[in-house]
Amino acid sequence: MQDGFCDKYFVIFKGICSQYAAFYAMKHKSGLLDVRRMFLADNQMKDLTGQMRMRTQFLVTDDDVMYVKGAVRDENISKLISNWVIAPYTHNVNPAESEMRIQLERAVTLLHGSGLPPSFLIDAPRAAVFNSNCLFTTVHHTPGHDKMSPFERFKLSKPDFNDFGRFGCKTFVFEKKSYRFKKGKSHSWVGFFLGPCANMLGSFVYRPYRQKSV
Amino acid sequence: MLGSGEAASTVVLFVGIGMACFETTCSDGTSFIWCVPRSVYNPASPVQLLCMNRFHYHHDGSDTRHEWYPKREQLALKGGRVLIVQKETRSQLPLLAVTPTHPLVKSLMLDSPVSQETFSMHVNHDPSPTSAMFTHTHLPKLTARQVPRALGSPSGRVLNETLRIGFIKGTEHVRPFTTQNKSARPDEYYAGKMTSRHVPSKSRRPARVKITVGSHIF
Repeated sequence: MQDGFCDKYFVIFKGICSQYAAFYAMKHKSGLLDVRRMFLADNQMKDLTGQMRMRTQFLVTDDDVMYVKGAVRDENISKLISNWVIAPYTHNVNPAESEMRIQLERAVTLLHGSGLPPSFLIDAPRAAVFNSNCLFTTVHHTPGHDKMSPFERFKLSKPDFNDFGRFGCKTFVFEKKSYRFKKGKSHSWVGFFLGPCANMLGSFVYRPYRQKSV
Repeated sequence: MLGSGEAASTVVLFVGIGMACFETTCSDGTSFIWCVPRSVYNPASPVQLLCMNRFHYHHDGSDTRHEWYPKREQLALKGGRVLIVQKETRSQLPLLAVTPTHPLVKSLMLDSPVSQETFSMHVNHDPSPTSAMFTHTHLPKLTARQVPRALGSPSGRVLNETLRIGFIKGTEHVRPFTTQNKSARPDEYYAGKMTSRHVPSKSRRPARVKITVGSHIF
């Protein structure tokens, strides 16, 4: 089942230190390497003096050939990233298992509360991940992080409540004058809110008239 | 609402909802600005109805220390000034002449004529004189019930700690819940819980797979 961007799969990367999670959607499983590169490019945070503040040192995965072999392994070696492979058949020690459970639980909560059909199941984890980044977590490994949300630990600023919206709520999107074909046409169109964007000031909105997410 | 002779007809009326601000003239010629939140204003109506308590109490219930004297047809302000409130001869209802204004006029204390004119240039875009009477962008205050809905119905402890520490800008005035009423949780919370995937604590390794020391390390 694909979403409005024709994505069928998704990957959630989560930092063990900051607990900040990042959501990436994929059209095919083969796009994992591109998503991985995108994640590394997005999350190597530098401060104003050019010092590296955030850097991926190792990748914790289960014993899946997608991660421990092939292009992802070569990419890790080239980026000097260690691979921490969880022993097979030991699901309880894999931190990704419980994380998957929590994120999907939150996604179903959003989807059920919105009333949108299950075809939005790819969009719901995106909003759930953004929400969970801004909520309280007991996990912290650095002094001072106990009073900070994962969003603040990672981006050093607090999120604004105006960026939040209820998943699936009615949204009016302003349309520029150049996009209006007829004079006197409405200045906005109505869609459904699908969550904020991660790396830009904007939100995902589903447009029912064109059956497309923008 | 008084003077609504047109209300019985099928005329579509657009009313303003929000904080009404109007100016009254005292007996000594000075003006006094009133702000009445949570009111409905019909610009087509020549007369608006106001509750007497709006003059006696603020919207939070505190006393304004103004005093209304119906028999003397006066409204004595706390500073000593007096408003003349005459009764309408036919209905015997007290009438007060008001001039609509904007809430920012009071908040910014724009008393000089120059600043008043500059301010109206930014506000009064509509040729109708009623456009600057109300704050149409007035939004209802964020309540504690709306926060969990926007955040995806998190658990009570997580939500309370998020509000208490102040992780999100704009929720500083929202108080954490003192009690956690599990019966008041929304349906979506339990819908999410029902999908919880069990993570087995015991190995699901088939008997045919043999693992020795270091055999799974590539």
